[in-house]
Amino acid sequence: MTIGLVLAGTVQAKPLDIWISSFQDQLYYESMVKLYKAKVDKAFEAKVQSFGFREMPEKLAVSIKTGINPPDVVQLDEVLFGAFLSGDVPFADLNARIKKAKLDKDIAKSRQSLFAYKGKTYGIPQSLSAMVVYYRADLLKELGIDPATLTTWDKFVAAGKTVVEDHGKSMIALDPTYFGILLRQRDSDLFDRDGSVFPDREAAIEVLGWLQKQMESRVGMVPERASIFDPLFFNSAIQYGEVLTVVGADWYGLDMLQQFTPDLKGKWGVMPLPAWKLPDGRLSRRTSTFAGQGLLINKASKQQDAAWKFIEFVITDKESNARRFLDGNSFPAYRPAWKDERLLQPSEFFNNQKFGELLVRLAPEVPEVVSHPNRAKAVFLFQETFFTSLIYGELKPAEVLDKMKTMLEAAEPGL
Amino acid sequence: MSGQEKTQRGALSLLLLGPFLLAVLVPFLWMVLGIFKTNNEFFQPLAKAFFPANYDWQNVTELLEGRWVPFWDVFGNSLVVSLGQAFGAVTLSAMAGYAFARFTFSGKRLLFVLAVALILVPRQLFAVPLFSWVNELGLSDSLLGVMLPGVVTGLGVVYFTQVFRQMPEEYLQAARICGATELQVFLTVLPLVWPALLSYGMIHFILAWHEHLVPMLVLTTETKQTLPLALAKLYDVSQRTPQGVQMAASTFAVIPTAVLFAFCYRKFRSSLSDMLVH
Amino acid sequence: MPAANQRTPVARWTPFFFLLPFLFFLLLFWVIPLVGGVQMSLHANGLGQAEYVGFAHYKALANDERYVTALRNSFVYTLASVVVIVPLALWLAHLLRATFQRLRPVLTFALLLPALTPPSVLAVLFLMVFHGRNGLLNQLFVMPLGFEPVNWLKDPDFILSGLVLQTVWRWTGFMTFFILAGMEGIPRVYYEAARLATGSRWRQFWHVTLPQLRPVLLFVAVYLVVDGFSLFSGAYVLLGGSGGTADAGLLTVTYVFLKTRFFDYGSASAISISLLPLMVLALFGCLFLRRRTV
Repeated sequence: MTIGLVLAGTVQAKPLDIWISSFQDQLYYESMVKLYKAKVDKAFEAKVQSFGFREMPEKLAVSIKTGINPPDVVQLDEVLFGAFLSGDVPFADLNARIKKAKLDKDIAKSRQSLFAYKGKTYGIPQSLSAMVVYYRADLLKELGIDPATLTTWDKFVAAGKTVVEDHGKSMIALDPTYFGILLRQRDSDLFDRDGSVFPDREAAIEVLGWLQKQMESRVGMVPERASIFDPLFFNSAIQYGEVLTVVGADWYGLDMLQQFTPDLKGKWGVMPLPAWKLPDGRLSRRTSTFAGQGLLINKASKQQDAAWKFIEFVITDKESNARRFLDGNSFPAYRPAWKDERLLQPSEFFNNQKFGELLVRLAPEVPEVVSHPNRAKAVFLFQETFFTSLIYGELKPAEVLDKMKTMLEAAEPGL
Repeated sequence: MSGQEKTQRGALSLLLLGPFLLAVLVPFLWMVLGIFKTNNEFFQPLAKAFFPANYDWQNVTELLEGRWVPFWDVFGNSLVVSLGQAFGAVTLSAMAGYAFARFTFSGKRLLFVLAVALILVPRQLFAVPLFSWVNELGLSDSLLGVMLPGVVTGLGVVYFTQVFRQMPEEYLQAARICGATELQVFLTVLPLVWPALLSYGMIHFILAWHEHLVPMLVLTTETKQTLPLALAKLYDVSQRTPQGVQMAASTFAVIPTAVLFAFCYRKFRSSLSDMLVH
Repeated sequence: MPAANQRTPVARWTPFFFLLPFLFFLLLFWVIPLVGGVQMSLHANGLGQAEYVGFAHYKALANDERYVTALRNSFVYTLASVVVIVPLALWLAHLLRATFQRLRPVLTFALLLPALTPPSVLAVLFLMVFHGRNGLLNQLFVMPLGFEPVNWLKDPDFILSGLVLQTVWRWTGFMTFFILAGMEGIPRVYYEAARLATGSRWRQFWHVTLPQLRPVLLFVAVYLVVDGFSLFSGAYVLLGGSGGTADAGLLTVTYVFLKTRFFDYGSASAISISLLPLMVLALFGCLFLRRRTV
């Protein structure tokens, strides 16, 4: 893989340093640099470097802490973004720039606050990151289940029970990320805007209990290494048709399913999340959200204007948004892009369904994510330390919550 | 014992060694066979697909052509860094070991323990300050910045202290009597321990070959990276490298150390025997 | 054996001449960053200009349940590795000596392969050995013996065992090699004498071989202690940098790593430094033991 164009700048002070979180995105951003050069500024030079998903925050942090060679533009995932929020946030406040570019009107409302904290906005989201259920259309058909009937989780679980009993398969793959996802579907989250942990304890217990119950009844299954993002999962449980559905964001299907299960082309269907029955009797929203990359500007950068112009281009340009969807990356959060016909066509990979259309329909319901300095810690703590104990019934939901709460509250940033 | 008894004993021992050998070799065999498998085949249960369906060399050629990482650059960097470190470490440790073994001076024990203990502390402690300091020295993103921190080794000091302790005082006296300076004395006796020098050089080469933390922090340019870093990149899920390519890279990562070891094997063994038993 | 009192008096600065290069680089690349690390441990966590907090991080460790868990796990892990690897390596060395001489180099080399392999490659190999249902360990040992497949990487009851197995697999061959070399260095004369005296092979081993091997075994033990407490690659390749379910596999190095991952540099440094006295003690202990064997 090659690093992008590097040149001792003449018009520009020096090339724009762009750090990308994923090797997948490197190609995309390199082509965006070319596009920007062609369309906007012929003298533009940028150096695009990618690091691993987990390695990038570490390198970024070390570079910020020591002040050595920090980048100008950073692509960061919202889950990892939180860790940078304790103390002096090292990113530039983009509120004024966003208003000037009218992005406060044009970016999907719920995504605007993704990189916001205490009144300032530090980043622009790259994707809508709307959750859907990806299902094996071929297998569901074989088993005589009509996905259109799975409108609530109760109905979903009922169908799941027949799948287990009559056919020995699992209905849904379970992953630690579902905790936050399902909480958000129920109008709650891991944190509150004022910083408290697990603001809606009842909802949290219900979600955890639900996960536990599905595992027990085998309606739900957990991948070998407890992650639906693991190549092993795609090549074993999915490959053998042992599980019928997975909950994932737009980028999960567009990026991971297309890359890791190419032989299942045409067999994947998409549908909104089944609804919860909320305590007040209403039905919950039919989607949720988790993760998603965004573009941020380093506060210490000497080329913030140039950085912003590039970012604005990537977010608003018609071609750039279309490429993101069509090349299998993610669905944009930029609303004007949704009018692009190309995003609304039937997708061959997804059973000829109009995936883009579904996402546009679900967009208004996508909930917000509450950012918090301990968000990254919370997500990883649950994933690494508590998920397995919970799912195998060794710990009760209330116990998990209490333990996590103690650990998170003790882990106050600063000490 | 009789010839027949010996053969029986030999065969029995071999049989008993069998399970251990298998336990060690089977994963490596799997790794090498994985080079030729498709992603699907790779993740299948072992009973079904231990052997690949086709022996297609595409993954190897792609890797060597540099399609996924600048392979030859990376491989070369690792070689340079590891050799440099090995050479430096042997020099420094031999001299230090000689000093600890053959001279008495106040504070010797304390200095010895501190020098060795320091290097036994988790590396992460040094990560950020080392990165910052290496940069201040102007060695950021350079192979030298990885090589120099690595020439200091507590293990080497322990090793050579032991080696020089074994040396009969007579050798040193003989050299001194000829009116040589201390340095000349050292240089005279050095060839006598050349197996130990070679052996430790090899150990250090292997450790340097595997090093991850310091190279990750210091090196940013892709063409300057070392093999473990390139491997990490290949393994990273977001890179989407075919498993076969990952296996090819892994195999290439083992070959140099294995070859080096095979070469030095005999010398290593004999020098160890001399050193360890007394 | 050369005796200390036979050394010729030399100029006082002579030893330092030989120590100088080593000390120079030690100072430059280890002591100076150590000072930086100590400084970090006295300041608040986080990325910005941290404020001075004195010994707050160290005090916090005393009440930190996870720190205690990490220490305990590391101790158990290290002890288990030594207890398993040393006898196993002795056994393998014995077998290697008893088997056909010509095969010895090849067999030893084969056993050594894991030690020559980069840690990240080991991660991939462990996938094959340890992963749940389809892993080698389950397919070849656990299931044939009639047990349910063990999820080595996720089941808290087995994670530490998995870590120990990983270390055993990785280092036993290496230690066998050292022990074999040690055994071959024992003068035949000792064996002859022992055989004449007792005749029992086991007695020979216990009274002759083992005492002669003490320096080797000491080296092996020190190496494994170091691996258990300060080398990260083993735990990292198996658990990916986490402590595993219920922190069952949380080692001291893992805890340090977790802290740095979330930018708690101050705490991380404090933990690392808190291990220093332990290391120094262990080393002094080894030196003391050594003197007694001479």
